Amino acid sequence: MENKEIKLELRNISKHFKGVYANKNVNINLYKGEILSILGENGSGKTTLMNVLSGIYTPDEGEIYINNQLAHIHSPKDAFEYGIGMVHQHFKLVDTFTAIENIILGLKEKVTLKEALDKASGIAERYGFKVDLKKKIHNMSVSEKQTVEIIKVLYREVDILVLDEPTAVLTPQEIEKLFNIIRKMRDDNKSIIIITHKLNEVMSISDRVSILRKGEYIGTLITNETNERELTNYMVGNKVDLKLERLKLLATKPTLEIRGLNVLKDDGTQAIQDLNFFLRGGQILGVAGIAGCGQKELCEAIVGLRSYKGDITHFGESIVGYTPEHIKEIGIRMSFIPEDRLGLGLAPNLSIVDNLLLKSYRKTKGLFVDRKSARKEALEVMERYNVSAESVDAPVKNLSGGNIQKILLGREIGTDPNVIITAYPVRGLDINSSYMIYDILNEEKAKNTAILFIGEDLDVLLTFCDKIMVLCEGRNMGIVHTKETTKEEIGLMMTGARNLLEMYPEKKYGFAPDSLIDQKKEEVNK
Amino acid sequence: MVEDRKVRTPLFSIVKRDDLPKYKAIIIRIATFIATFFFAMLICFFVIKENYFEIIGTLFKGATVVSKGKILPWRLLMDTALLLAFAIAIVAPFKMKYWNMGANGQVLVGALAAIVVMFFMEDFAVKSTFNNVIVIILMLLASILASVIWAVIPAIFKVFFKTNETLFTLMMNYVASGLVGYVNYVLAQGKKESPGIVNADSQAGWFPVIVDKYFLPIIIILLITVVIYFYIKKTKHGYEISVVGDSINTAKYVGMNTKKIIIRTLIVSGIICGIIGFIYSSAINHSIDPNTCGSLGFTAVLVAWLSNFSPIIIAGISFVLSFLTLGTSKVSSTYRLGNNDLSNVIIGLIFFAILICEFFIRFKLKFNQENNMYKAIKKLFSKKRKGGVEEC
Repeated sequence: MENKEIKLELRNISKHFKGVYANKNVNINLYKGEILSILGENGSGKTTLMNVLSGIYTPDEGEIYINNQLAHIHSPKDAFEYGIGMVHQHFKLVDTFTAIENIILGLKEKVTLKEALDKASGIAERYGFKVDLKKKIHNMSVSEKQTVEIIKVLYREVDILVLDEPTAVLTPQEIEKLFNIIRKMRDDNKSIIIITHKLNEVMSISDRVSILRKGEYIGTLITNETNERELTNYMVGNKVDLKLERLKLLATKPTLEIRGLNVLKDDGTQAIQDLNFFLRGGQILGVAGIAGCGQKELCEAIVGLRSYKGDITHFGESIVGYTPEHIKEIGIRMSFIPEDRLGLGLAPNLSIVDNLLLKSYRKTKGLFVDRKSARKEALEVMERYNVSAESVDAPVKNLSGGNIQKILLGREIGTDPNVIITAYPVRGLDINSSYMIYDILNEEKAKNTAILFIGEDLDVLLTFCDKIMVLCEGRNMGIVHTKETTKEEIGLMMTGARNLLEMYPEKKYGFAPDSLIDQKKEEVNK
Repeated sequence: MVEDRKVRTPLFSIVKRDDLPKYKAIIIRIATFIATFFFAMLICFFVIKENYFEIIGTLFKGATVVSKGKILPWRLLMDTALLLAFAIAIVAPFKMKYWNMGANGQVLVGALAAIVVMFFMEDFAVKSTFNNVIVIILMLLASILASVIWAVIPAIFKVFFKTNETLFTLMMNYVASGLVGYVNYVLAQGKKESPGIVNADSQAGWFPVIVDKYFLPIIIILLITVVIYFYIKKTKHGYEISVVGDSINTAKYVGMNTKKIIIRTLIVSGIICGIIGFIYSSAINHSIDPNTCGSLGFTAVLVAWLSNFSPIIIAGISFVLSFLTLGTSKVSSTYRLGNNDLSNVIIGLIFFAILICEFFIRFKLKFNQENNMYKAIKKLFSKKRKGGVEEC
């Protein structure tokens, strides 16, 4: 490794926003033909650094050297000219165009579609991409779209590739395929930077790891000479126990039973199809599935925000057709963190006090809002969950992701629910905040609350939940005990390659043996 | 390929300011206003070609003119109050991100309803003072009812059929002025275009005059302002409005009935418009025509925006605008300019200046030393031994 040529060098890069350093004196070298991971918690400055590299931000201090020459990068176009290609986390493709049209979009030189197709399919063949270049983007799966993005930068003959969280939206099988392609690119003497916060991926793909913590450059390690625990310690600064606690299961009757649920998406296509499952108090049911396979619609249906067909019962009582208000009254709470985080559950421009009031303002009598006791409650929540904010009157949008989530959960749990529906509760949070959230959920579990946990990190689902229900395109692929399953099995179920419902129809997945619905029916029959 | 690239640095970058103390921001705003005012008067000077200070004097006199036997410039106060009232009427919907462009029309149909009641109940009203009071109350109720209907129709369509409220409310303005023209024609029995001043002799349905014709209406508008201030800031309704405006999905999720809230807020807005319409008919004009409220409903949109929906600042800006409008129209008439376009030019200038000033309060320009143009300018200035960059 030592005798390799340096391709890219970042020297003393600093960038600050409002006096807070997002990057401080970052020094990173990238060799020709290597895969470098940049590892850091959320908010550690990974994305800022890559935006500096791709010309979206101009650094306050420091220099970038490419092939040992000072480079001036002021726009993504400049970056391309220096041979730097970026694959963003959120794809930037034109939906109504075909793959090849997207690939040549913005190129200066004139090419015929035929020439472009030849060149692009040449690239695809060389690295082993499998994609139909004449397919329209809106007909593509997430991993196909990602492939198009990668071909798009390779087409521009870049030799430095930056991949921002490339695995976030992929299944385990797809991740393995992507990694193989990345390795081929390395062998082709390209330099690749992967931004990630997933340790196992760092270990399996990269040659070296550079670690950032709170904007500061901590160091670079050779992957073979380190281990997950060491990396975690560097990443978070102090020792964090990677083990999640899974409380013992309590034997209770089913709290929420769902039978034959059908929900539509906004565009009228099927989101959830014939779904059966149940939740028990004191139990965490994980939901695994690729992003966008009906999780959001499922949550919204249960809490009464979306119309559906099918039965939902709460302790044997049907709650079909209840208003969200009514559903809340009987103790079903949802903490839903969609991608834009503030879109649902919180009002971004309102203060912490006003946001905590959202659930309780109706309870006081009279015309006026009681902000006095809400203020007291806000201070309590802030202290209990260790929320750092300027004041309780600060708009919540100014808080960091972790603090926002704590406020949201604090409010939801403050009302003593018996069902909690939580989707991606730790998305975008750093490790410390994530563990705090897991602790809060475990506390609720101990109080006999039934919890539906929609997650994305399979490791977390496997260690934290009691059972996992796997969804594939809105259908139940089976419900497995976390102790008895493997990551591979869940990955196969997520892609629909393994359907337990078809394999073992006699097991009646999703129907509780001690169902309160059946019990009620029997009573009626008698 | 890389070596011979030209290095491009922008002349300046726009940087967010966050160190500006509040009092400084206020001083900058006031200074901007004064500077723009004197600049605008310079334009007047070039148009009129009379003594600069005399023109300014005329403007001030025109704005603050006090009628014989009175102590206060009532006209200025009434104009301010009306603009304030219009802005207050649209503040609640605007806070909810419901762009109500139809205040004009809503006030107009209210005023029309009041006129119609006044017209047909003259005989009843003249019988006794008590009867007259009843007629006035009926006028108020009719006005409120008409305005509420006018305000709620677009809201219902928005809530149930997802129509665009901006276009809908704008169209309702045209319907309202058409309606006024038609009813006027009917009331005048086709002989004239309008019945003119209604009940000019009996003064039936006319609002009682205390201190001045404008005194009671101004008090009513101030009361409404205070009520709306508390409604928005302190009540549950006001709280719901701010949540719906900030994130309608959040509002739905916490179980708010957003349809109800939108319609209810437009009812409140309609009630205020109804009261304004009543004031026009019963207290100010006693007559109606399609231009009764000018374009106050639109000016009010600007006022509400500029003041960031704060009732106190709305009052301040309303005063300044009314002052300028009255003053410049006096200038126009004194110097025989023929029309009132000068007033529009000046007010437009001041609006622009305030907007530019808001930009510089939030951001600052940072010049790049590397830029070639910057270097050239610097060289130029250093030759003359001068320097400095102008800022707002």
